[in-house]
Amino acid sequence: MTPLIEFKDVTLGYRRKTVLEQLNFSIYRGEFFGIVGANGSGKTTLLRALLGILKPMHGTISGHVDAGDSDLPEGGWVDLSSSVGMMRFGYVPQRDSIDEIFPLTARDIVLMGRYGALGPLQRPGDRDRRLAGEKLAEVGLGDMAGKRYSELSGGQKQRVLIARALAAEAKVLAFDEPTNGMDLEGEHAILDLIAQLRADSRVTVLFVSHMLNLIANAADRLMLLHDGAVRIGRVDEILTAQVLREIYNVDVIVDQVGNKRVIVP
Amino acid sequence: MSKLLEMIQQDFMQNVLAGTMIVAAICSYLGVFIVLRRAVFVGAALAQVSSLGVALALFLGGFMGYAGHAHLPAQPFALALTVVAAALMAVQYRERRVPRETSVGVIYASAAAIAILLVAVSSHGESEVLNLLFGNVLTITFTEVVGLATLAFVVGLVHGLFYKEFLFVSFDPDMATALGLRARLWNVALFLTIGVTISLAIRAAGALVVFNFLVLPAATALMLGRGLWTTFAVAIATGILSALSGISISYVVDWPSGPTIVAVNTLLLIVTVAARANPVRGK
Repeated sequence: MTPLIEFKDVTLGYRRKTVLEQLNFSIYRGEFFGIVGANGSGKTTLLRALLGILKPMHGTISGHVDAGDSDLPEGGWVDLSSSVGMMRFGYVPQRDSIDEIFPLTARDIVLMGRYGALGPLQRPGDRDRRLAGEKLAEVGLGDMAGKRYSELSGGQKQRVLIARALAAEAKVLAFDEPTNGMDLEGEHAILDLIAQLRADSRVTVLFVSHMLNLIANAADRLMLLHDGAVRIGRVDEILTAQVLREIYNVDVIVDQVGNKRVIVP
Repeated sequence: MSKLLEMIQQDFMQNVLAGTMIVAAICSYLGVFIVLRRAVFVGAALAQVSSLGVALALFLGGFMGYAGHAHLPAQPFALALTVVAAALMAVQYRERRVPRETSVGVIYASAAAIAILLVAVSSHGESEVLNLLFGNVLTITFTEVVGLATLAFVVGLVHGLFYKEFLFVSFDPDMATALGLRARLWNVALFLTIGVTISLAIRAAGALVVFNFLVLPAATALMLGRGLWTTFAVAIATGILSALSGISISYVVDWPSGPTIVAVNTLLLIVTVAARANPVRGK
């Protein structure tokens, strides 16, 4: 596997408050990388640093851009904190963070995914509109393009935000708790959609969640965050009773039901 | 009717109508951004800061020995202070001990208080001070109409060129940053256009009228629940309609023009709310 993103001696935090220290790890091309932790564990901080919204207090976060993929003609490693946007991230925020007061349709929002590829004075053209329509169809909302975002269901809103990330023609999709507040059916529909997108395009997926069971069967590798402690590894290495006891200080049973892994406290 | 004809034949009333309609159009357009960003209080605070700039010019004028009707030019002071405050309020920062709106409230209250204190110790007459501080649509001159038209052209040009950036950073600054847009810079640019507009419009039309145009037309347009372009168009149309009818009514029945404009705008909002609550059925 080839690394796509590298954290070297990274410390993250706000002003004088350190949230995560000495992070050294790589995210590989095409993998599903799960980031799991309770509220306040630093998973959103980590995501914000990756996207270039938060600068590291120390260390570097680098990303590998392909030749012809950005302003760097030959491709290569770039510092993601100083070259924000060079490596195109498809960020899918929590849908609660989107203000529904804006009178925007699903198409309007998906079209915003194209704004990064356009210069300051350029307007979205026919190609951008066509692409937005295609991405809406890809997430199963081809007939909802003209519908107002505020009138969509929770699952449909999440799909619109995924379509916007896809419209950015991103190499990395970064999901922040995309299944929050959804029922079982909604959760699985979103995970199925992500699996489908990976199968179609081999896109790299970063998935932030506080639900270990949800991510246990979808991710290739996991990062567990708890009280400043960080543990990274393949799912079968991380999801063992011993490791989970070390991190969370509780006894759990890790078992297999059919082909699914379950963690029971 | 004859009174209305008489009104539009008078030179000074032509300036009043033209100036107020320009203020209505720009402020109603920018008001959509202000209401959508839930920054109505920012508009009020910027208006106070603009007044503080005027009061500061009066105070310094007195201090430096200007007397009688002579005074330091107030507009540069108002503009400079408003631009600085707008840039400061545009910067998104992480909330720590108090909510973000609190700092806007602090600016609002302290700017208002300091402005009054500066006026109290300055050497100018009260009516002159009130006019300088709060403006009045009936005193809009041809020069001011030209200034407002230039402002409308510049704001229209900047927003025409950078509309998608202003919309994106207002709607989802995190995704905008992730895609390489400099969200902080675009936020400051957007708030600068709002700050400059508020500062110049207040001197011409007064704080009440400007604040009205920043909030009520946008609220009316959003109540109609259409798309974004329709919202902008309805807000601008509502603002201009209120300006025209408010000034006409105030001229005919001899009411104060500012409050009449606000009353018309309020009436339009009430009618819109009522129409939404009881939609016409059938057809």
